[in-house]
Amino acid sequence: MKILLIIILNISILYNNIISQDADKIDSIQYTAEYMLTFRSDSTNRERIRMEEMSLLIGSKYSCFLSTNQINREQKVKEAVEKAIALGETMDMRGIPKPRFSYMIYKNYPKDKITTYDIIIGAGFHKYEENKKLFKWEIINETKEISGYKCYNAKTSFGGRTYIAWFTPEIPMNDGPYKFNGLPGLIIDIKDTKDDYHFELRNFYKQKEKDYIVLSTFDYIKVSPCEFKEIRKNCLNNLKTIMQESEFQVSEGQMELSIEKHRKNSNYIELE
Amino acid sequence: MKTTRLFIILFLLFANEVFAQKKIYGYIIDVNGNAISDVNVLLLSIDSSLLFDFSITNEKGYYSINLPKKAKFCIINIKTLYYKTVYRYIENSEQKIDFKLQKRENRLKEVIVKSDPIFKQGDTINYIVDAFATQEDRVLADVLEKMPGIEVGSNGQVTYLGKPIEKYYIDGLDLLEGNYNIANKNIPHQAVSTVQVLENHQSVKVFKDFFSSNSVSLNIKLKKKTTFASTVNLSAGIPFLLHDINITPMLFTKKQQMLFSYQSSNTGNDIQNDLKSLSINDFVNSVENHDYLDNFFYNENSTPFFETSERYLFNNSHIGSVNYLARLKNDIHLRINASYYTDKTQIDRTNSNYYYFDNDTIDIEEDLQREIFTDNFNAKFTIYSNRNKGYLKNVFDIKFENTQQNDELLVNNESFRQSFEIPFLSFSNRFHLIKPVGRKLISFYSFTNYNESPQHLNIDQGVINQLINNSTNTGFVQNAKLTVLNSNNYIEMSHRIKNSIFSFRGGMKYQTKQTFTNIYEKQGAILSELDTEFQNKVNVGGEKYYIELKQQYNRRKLKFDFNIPFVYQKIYNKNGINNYSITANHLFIQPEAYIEYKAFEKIKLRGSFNYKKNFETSNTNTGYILRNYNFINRGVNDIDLEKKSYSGKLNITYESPVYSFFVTGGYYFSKLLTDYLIQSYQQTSGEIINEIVPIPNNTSANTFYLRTSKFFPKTKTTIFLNLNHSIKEQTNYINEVVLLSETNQTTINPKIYIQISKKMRLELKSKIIYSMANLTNNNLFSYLQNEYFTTIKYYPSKKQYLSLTFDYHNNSAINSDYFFIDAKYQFSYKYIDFELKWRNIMNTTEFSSYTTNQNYVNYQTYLLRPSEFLFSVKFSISKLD
Repeated sequence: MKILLIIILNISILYNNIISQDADKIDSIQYTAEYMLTFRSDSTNRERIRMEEMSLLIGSKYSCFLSTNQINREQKVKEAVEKAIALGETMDMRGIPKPRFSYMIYKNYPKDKITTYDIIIGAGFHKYEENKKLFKWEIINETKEISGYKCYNAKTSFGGRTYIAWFTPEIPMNDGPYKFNGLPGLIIDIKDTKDDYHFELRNFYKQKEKDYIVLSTFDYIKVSPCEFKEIRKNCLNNLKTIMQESEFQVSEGQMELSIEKHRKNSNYIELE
Repeated sequence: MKTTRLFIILFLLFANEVFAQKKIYGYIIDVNGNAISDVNVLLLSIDSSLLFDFSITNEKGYYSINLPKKAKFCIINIKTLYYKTVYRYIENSEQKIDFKLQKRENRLKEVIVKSDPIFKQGDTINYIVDAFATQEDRVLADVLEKMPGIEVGSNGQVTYLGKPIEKYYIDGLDLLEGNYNIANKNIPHQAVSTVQVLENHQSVKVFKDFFSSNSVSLNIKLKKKTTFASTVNLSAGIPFLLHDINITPMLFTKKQQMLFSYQSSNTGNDIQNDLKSLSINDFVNSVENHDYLDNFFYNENSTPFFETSERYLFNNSHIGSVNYLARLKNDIHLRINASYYTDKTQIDRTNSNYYYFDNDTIDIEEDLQREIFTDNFNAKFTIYSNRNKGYLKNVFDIKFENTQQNDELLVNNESFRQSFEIPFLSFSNRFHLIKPVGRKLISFYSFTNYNESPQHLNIDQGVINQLINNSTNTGFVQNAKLTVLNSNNYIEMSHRIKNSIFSFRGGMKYQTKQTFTNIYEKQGAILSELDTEFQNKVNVGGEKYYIELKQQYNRRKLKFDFNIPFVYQKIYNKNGINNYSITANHLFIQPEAYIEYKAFEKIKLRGSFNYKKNFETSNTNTGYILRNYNFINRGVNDIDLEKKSYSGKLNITYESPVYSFFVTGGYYFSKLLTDYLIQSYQQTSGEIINEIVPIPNNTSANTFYLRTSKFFPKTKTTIFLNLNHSIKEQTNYINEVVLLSETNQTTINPKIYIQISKKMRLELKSKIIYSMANLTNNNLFSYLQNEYFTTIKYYPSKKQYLSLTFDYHNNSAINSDYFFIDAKYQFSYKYIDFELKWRNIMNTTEFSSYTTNQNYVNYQTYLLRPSEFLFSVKFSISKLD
């Protein structure tokens, strides 16, 4: 996480003129669905269970799924950079919470596509497009009431995992957490059969104050989904070299700890 | 346009015939004939328990659903955000149905799911404060005590599963260290979002990847980034012009935190407690470094066992406290904690002691009226930086205290007076630096303390005549002075190899302690020195050189620590009265071990053991020292008296935040072996003379315990149950007879907070103690002590609150029954609470207690506060940005 932060910081200072642009507002948020994600990031240590608050911002045309701490993070970082430059101080990032996931998933942007913006540790900003119809859902005829909503059950395979989803037609949006979509109602609860990733709806509410779904002002390199996974894999294997070559001076011990940490956290949601 | 649509329909009609499965299909359009895309079309069974199939319309508004094989009829359900919802019964046959949707904005059912009241993230357990708060709660401490797993002691100490917390962070910052009670009692609970219990919390960041910690800390997470809050509480009452004032403003931001407090009370509210450190670490540090006041006098200030001091404390106290923390550049923190306390307390009690010997019993009746005047000033200046790159902390601490105590006594019908004056001055500085060097950590620690205490005792007559053997005097005066200089310095190096951390610590402790005492005989206004038997001029001290080898292993479920300190102790004793001088040295090994195993995520097993052996140097005053009107003692020249101790602990913990259920249980033992025994000569006059005799002996204690608690979120009910059983054995040497005493005590302590209805809450608490003591070989004493507390809380409206508390106390040994009723009514107007309290409605003004001790039983009767009325105006401002 630390290295990730350093990379973000570095880029934000380098691209200071880009940062001074306003973020691109692509849609206004109509509803927000907040999910709690419980996950096992380390497949070798099943006891290491982490939690992260995630948000699905639903606009009239598009939706954006991201870590709640990632919302407006760029803006906050930008302000911190500007303040640091103005006052000639070191950056104060303490008030800005760190997300555990750097991805931002835009559904239906462009139309019928899903665009994923993500940061690869060691390689920087990347984005890729996928077809929105990624999922073949199989209905399992079970119903259950979750948080007061009547829910139906469906099953799908994705990224090397099998998922069981509960969705409610009472919220007539064919959307869900992560890339999941295509069910006739919002996905309230979805988890994989290994119980590595589990999204549960905590809050769902109509947007009261005007707010927007924004696009990042950073330059994200466009790649294909396969390329993305390939780059990520290469970077992970060569993290040490990448870090040694970077201009940041990190002690050997700290570097190894950090590499070890990233290796351990490689139980990604999409295995294949 | 129309022709193409027709064409598509025709095509699809045709296509459908090709497929075996029958379908329902069609178009969804709005009133203007425009296609609506992304609409969910569901095909449900008639009772809508089954979802047969669904379709989402494409940009042309087209849908197509497979029909089920069995059902005769189905329902088509179309629900959207901006159009009227459609339900239509259809026959199970292939057909084309188009829908024209009417515009209407639908309100979706919103859900704000309350998070679980307790949830775990790694080693952090989060308690959502709002889930535990009830109408009458005002400050955090009120809510904290209802959280399962957490308990707040009567002195304010917070424990988690019986373990006292090490740090009390407010939004991650350590403003108050161990003196957190002042914050806990004054932060409005509305300002707090979650209380986090940080298990295995390593407070030193550099240590994080090195040493794991076994301690528990608390973090108070505030709702807003900037919180300004203030508690203002003004109370007045009758009789005796009662007042209770508390003005505590505080400000918490990311950059600075401050808390100021002025409190004043003569209502029995023990506000001094707010200034006491409740951290075990502070206590251990203080004992190790000996920076506390060594009081020559035996001040038996016992209090009756009430949960609240408001029953018995006749005080008149004022406290002022200033706490400020600033976070500067580079994560440097500056902190000032200063406090002043002044008090006048009165105690009125009778004391009956029955001493049991083989063939004899002595009865001493003592009637005591005591006034204690206290002035305490304490200031602490801290600078610290706690970063991953390094750790630095320096604390400079000044204490200035003065206690003056005047006693009026009536002992076996003889009356006289005694007075004590105990000033205390102490300066100390603690410096700690830790730096990582590659994979190693290097730390440097230095502590220095100087303290002095000139003490004065004045007795009119007194009971010690027998020893001094002069009946013509009119009393005694004792002047004493104690000067102590301490220092402890070490260097530590730690290195990580795979899953183990190895560390080496080498250091030196130095201490010198000078004692001067002199007892004078009074003949009217003339003071005359007694012989040298009643004087002390002792200088005891020495050095301890130590090397500690530590290994800490930590891998997944298993964790263990070993620590083997080698201590080379060199001590000297220079006695200026008998010109005696002696030195001694010895090498001691003091191993410690700790093991922790995690099983099934929720279960933790822990065990620890330690062994200690060292010289005991606290009994080197060869001249008699007066400790009370009836108590005099002296020690021996020898300094090579050895003290050995073993102790061990076993603990099993089960934590289930999901079910809000916590259990911990275990066993601990300690055994102390000494080369010497305190011989006590107890005279029929009540006089006690203690001397040291070289008889090896041992003392042991064994305790079994179980603590469990569960919270039921729907009814806001919490149940606690604590069980404790202890066995203590001790050797006493009294009037030249060696006596063994054994005490068995069982304590059962259930507690329940229950919401009976929306308007009523009930709190039931009880404490049952069964004690059996075998004081001498023949005398058996047992008693059963019962205490029951019932509080009924009634809320007639959201602005009103009424509570009635009943408590009942009974002790079988003295056949006493005590019954108390307290009433409280509170009315809230906006942010202001008006409160009316009627305490001790039954006007019970005396209370007796019974305890057993060594070879005697003790009956004490205390004077209690009478029936009192108090009217209070309270408001707590909590402004959030």
